Amino acid sequence: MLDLSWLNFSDFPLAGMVIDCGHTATSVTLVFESLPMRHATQKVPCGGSHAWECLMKSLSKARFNNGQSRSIAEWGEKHCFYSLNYSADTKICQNLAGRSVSMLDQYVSCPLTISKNPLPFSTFIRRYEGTQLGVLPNELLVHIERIIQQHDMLVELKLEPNVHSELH
Amino acid sequence: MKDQYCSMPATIYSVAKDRFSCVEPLFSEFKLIDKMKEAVKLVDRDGPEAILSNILITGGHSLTKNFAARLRKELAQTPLSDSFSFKMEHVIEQAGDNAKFASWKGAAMLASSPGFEKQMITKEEYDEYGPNIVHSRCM
Repeated sequence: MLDLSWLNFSDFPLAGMVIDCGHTATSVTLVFESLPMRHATQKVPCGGSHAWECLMKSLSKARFNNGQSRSIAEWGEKHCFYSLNYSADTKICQNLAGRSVSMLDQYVSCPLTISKNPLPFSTFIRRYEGTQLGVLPNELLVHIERIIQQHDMLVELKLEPNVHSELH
Repeated sequence: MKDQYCSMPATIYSVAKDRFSCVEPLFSEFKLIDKMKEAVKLVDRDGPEAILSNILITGGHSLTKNFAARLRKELAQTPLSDSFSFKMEHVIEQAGDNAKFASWKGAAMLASSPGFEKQMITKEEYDEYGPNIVHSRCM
């Protein structure tokens, strides 16, 4: 067995349970007298990648771009969470789904703040006709970000054909 | 330019549920708590109390919001050991900023330890003894 006694454990408890949630797996390791109890180590084949794959599948079903796994993972790390009451949270979400909003009022009341940098959210948002939203003017992206922050969710824009042509 | 966007309708597509359903399998499908119980069952009766009183969560995915809170909630509902008649107090600590790279740092510390070279397996040794040498040398 590897000698780990050289490690300085003076600042840490000598016994405990370590739950390591990694990218591909989650492991449970018991530590006693500063040594891992290998025979008791348990592993679950579920980690961050599993979660982001699930998220990607959901987004692709909704016609969001599914080719940017890294961006989705970044978004997931920022916005995903473990529910403390799954059924209650699910119910709340069902009420929100599919709700339509008009951008008119919000856009007019929103001051035109121009951002020089494209927003990371824009990578998830696709035009109705399949063109990436990143080509739209930045002030619209800023506006979309505000909607996202306000409603705490992603927004899919549905552009009418005449509006689409006006933008070019 | 403002007028161009005024007529633009937008539909909110809710991914709100996906925000928590995508991480849910760790507890619901893969039964993390059951695995923790299995681990505790495999140790002697001397250790569990000291072990269970200190739970450290680490790894990049542990930084997902509410992970510690969810774990605390699950442990309050399902005791890890039936041996204790009293209610076990679990002190759950998060590795914080180190969580994401804790495994890498640990491996780096181990690799730089004085006796590590003796534990190393050369390619020649591996070719000669096969994968079993890992079990005989490292476990």
